Amino acid sequence: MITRADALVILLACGLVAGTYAWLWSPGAPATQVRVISGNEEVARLPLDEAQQLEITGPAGITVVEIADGAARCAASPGTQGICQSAGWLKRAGDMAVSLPNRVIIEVLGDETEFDSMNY
Amino acid sequence: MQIATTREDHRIAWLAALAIAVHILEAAFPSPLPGVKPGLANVITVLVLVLYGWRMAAWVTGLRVLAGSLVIGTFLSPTFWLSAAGALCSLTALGLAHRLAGRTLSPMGLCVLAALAHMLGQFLLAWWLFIPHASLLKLLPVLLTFSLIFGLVSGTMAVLMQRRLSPPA
Repeated sequence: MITRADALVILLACGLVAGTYAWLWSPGAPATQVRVISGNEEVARLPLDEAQQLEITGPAGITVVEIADGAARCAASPGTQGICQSAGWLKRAGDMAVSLPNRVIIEVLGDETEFDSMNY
Repeated sequence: MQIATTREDHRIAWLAALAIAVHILEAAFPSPLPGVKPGLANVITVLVLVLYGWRMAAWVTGLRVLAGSLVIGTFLSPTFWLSAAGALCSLTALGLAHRLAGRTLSPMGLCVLAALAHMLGQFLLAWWLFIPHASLLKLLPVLLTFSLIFGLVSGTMAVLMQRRLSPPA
C-alpha cells in the first residue's frame, strides 16, 4: 500500500524534477548588442535596437551584417556554402554566425554569457 | 582452515547473489542514454532494507557493486565509480529515510528516494570528475525524469514483491 509519506516523497520528487527543468532549462538571456570580429580584431560593437547594415571587408570579399528588431544576421557573405547566412537571425546572447572564408565572426551578446554550442 | 559463518552471512551472500544477477541482466539491456537504466537491483536493496535493516542492505549493495563490476568487467573504470557513488548516495538516503520515517514509508517511497539519490550521486561525481563542464547540467533534468519514472516502476515491483514475502522469522 502507498502511504501518506510515500505520496509526500513522490510529490517532493516531482517538485525536484520540475525545479531542475525550471532552473537549468530556462532560455538564454536576450541579446543586447552585436560584436563583429574580422580576422583577429573586433571591428564593430553595436547596439541591437538601431536598424542598420554594415559591410565588412575580409580576404574573400564583403560580408553584410544586418541589424533589425533587436537581432542581427549575416545577410550576405562570399562563402559558397552559405553557412554564415544559414545561422539566421541572432537573438539570444551567445548566438553567432561565422564566415570562415571571409574570417568574420558575428556574435550577439547579452548581460550574461551563454554557451555557443553544445554537443553530446 | 574453516571460517565460521553465521546464518546472516549466508543470507547476505544469497541476497547479494540475487542482486548481482539482476545487475548483470540489466547491463545486457541497451540504454537510451548513458547513465540511464531501470535500476532493478534497487528493488533488492529496498526490500532487504525493509525486511532485514540498513546494515544488511549496505552489505548486499556493496557486494553487488563490487562483484557485479568484476563480472561485467568494469571494475575501477568510470562506470564502476559512477555505480559506487550512486549506491553510496542511495544507501545514505535510504538510511536517513528509514531512520526518520521508519514504517511510514513503504517500498514505493523508498525506491523513488533511492532512485533519485542514486542519480544525483552519480551525476555529481560525473560532473566533478569526468565532465566538469557547466553544459552537463542541461542533462540533469532529463536524467532525473528518467530516475523518477524508474523509481516509480521499481517501487511498484518492490511493493508487489513485499506482499508475497512473509516477514523474516
